[in-house]
Amino acid sequence: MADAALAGIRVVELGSLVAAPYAAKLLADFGADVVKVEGPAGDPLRAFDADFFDNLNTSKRGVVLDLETAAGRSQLAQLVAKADVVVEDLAPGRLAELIGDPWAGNEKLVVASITPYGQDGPRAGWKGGDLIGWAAGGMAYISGEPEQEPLAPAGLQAWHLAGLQTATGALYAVYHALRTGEGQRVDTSVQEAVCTVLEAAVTDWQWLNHARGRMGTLHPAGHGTGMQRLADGTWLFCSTMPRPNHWTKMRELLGNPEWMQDPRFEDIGVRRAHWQEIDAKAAESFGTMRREDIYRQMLDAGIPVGVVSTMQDVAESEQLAARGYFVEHEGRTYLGAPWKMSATPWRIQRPSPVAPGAHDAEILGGRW
Amino acid sequence: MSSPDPLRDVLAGVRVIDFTQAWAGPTCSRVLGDYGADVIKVESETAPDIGRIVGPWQTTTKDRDASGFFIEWNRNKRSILLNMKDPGDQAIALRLCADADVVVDNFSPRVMPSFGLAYEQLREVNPDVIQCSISGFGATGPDRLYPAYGQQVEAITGLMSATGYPGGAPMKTGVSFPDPSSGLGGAAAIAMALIHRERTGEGQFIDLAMTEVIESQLGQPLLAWLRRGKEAVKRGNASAWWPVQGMYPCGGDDRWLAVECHTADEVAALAALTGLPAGELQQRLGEFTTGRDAHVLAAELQAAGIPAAPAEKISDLMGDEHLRARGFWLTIDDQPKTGPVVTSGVMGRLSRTPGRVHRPAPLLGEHHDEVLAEFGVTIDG
Repeated sequence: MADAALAGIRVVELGSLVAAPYAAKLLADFGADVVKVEGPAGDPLRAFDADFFDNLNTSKRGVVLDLETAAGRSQLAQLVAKADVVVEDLAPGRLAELIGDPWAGNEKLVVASITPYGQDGPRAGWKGGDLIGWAAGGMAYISGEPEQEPLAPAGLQAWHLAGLQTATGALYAVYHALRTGEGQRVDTSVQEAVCTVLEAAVTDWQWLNHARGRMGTLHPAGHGTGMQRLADGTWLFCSTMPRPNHWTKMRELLGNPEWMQDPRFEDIGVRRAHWQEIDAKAAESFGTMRREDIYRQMLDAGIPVGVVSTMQDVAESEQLAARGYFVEHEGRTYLGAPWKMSATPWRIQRPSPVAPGAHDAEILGGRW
Repeated sequence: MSSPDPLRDVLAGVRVIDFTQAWAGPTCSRVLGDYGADVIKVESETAPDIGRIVGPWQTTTKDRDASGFFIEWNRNKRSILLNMKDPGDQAIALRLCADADVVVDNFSPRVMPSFGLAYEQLREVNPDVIQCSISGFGATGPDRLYPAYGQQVEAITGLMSATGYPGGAPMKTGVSFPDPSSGLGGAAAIAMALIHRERTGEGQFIDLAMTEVIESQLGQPLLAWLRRGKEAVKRGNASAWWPVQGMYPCGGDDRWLAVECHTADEVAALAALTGLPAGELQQRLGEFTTGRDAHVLAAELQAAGIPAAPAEKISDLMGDEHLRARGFWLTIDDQPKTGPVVTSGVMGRLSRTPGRVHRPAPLLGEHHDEVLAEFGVTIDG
């Protein structure tokens, strides 16, 4: 364990579903000693999607505490008293109701909290969810097609983003505690996590009174939807070609079609103004090609293009395979390291707790 | 301007040499700067950060010191000018990195070695340095040199193929979402490396691929293929788990309410409030919301214990009483050329060391002379 970045750092996770478990997983797979506390019914994600639960809870040990009982609350207080970090997604104020002041006798403690709207403010008590976070943070309104409803992306991205932000905040708080002995609260609001990644929307509104709407796959600085469907059904996505030579290289790869010889289109500004015309013409050219005719050739020419990968494409990616991204552990496949660290590598320390309370005996027996 | 203070700023005294551009990398170094690190951004006259030329601008000048995107993502940094194709300037860059704690870039993995700034080279002059390279595909593998923008990463990772209206084409988020996610991931990785260095004295190299950050948070649809051979299906805003989840039309121009009931109690409360049958809420809730004010409805539903929120516009959010009460927005009071600018809050809100605005976003090359003097670099002639 000496080569794990977070070896010896003790974390109590009081979380369920996605956001808090993802935050704690980021710490656990880099070596933190994470104990996941579940209620007697278990994390509901176990029932919704056992594979997803397994992936989100690697490298953790699990205990069951019934926080409705005084005994359960007392055991929680004992765990927190020994912890460096608590990752929790309870309603604001609930942790203190359960165990009193978590910092009493443990001043270095970092309490990393994830709630829909944060620990204070007029909406602190409001309920949330992933779609609600995406909507409340302003991303839904600008995602999707203009004539259809605002759209959230696949994979619960508001929750994952909030989890990543919480882990980041907790890590800087741990660093501060190592150097000063001083603990603190990390207060993640899912709304704010989303609201922080709105590109230049803040100055767009402040200076120009411009509130961007939904544009589908059209890019504000691009020259079309960027979506091209090939003869074999593959979608290619290439919304921006910022360098002048991108256009000329693309013209060569498409066999110098007549419509691309219009000299006006050498200028990205002109292309932007005529994007509908260009999209329609490009569809004719791309529609006769297969993935092997054009995709690698565009990348080799330096044109920023992406194949719209299916899950199967991702699973079969030679790039991910070459980097050993997917990991087998005890016969099951897991998503791999979010980043690679040369001295302190990511590693699945153990599979997820197979059942709620799997490690009650070793942890609640006073040995943690 | 206020100098970082070790008791209030987590990274006071930490020096960062920042070769990042556009969005992913600058997000990473913004987190470090917000927490009090001294972030020295390396640009050049001929290739300034592209964020300086994308705007928006208050006026029609297109002044590269006054681009809104640049200001938002580069507060708390200093700017110096180096021509990294020039051997003399490369030597200066190496000299700066020799005295740095962290070196960060978001180039293709070809570039830093071509500047003489590969990790092995940095380690020779700075044994415990932390280097974080953010790239599209990572520093190894057959695709490593391919160009990558955040938008493409949404396609390549499968995020787009799993996202969309039922039966419709692949769809993306409204921004280059992989950029800020990767930048935030880089900031987390650097924190881990700082913790490790604090405890062991050892530095290291962080190889962050934007694709791998996104695969790691794609989660459920990717696991469904890996474990069960089930390809992703576009389900719009509907949930695989929740009895009611969707976006419903409200009164006004393009206004919508998100509703997400996780429990039977919440469904029952929604049925009671709307008079609609519980089993038909998912399909018919729009009959109730149509014509009503999304913000009023959100408050009514929340008062009845039902998770709901309007699809907020940026204009709503910048005047939002809740975000104001929490002090979310941070104003850069002394931004040259524009005057005070409101910007988004610190990623990660720490109660005792909350991160803050120490200095405005830099003018191009504004701190060149002072930084070189501080690092003891003297220029001949």
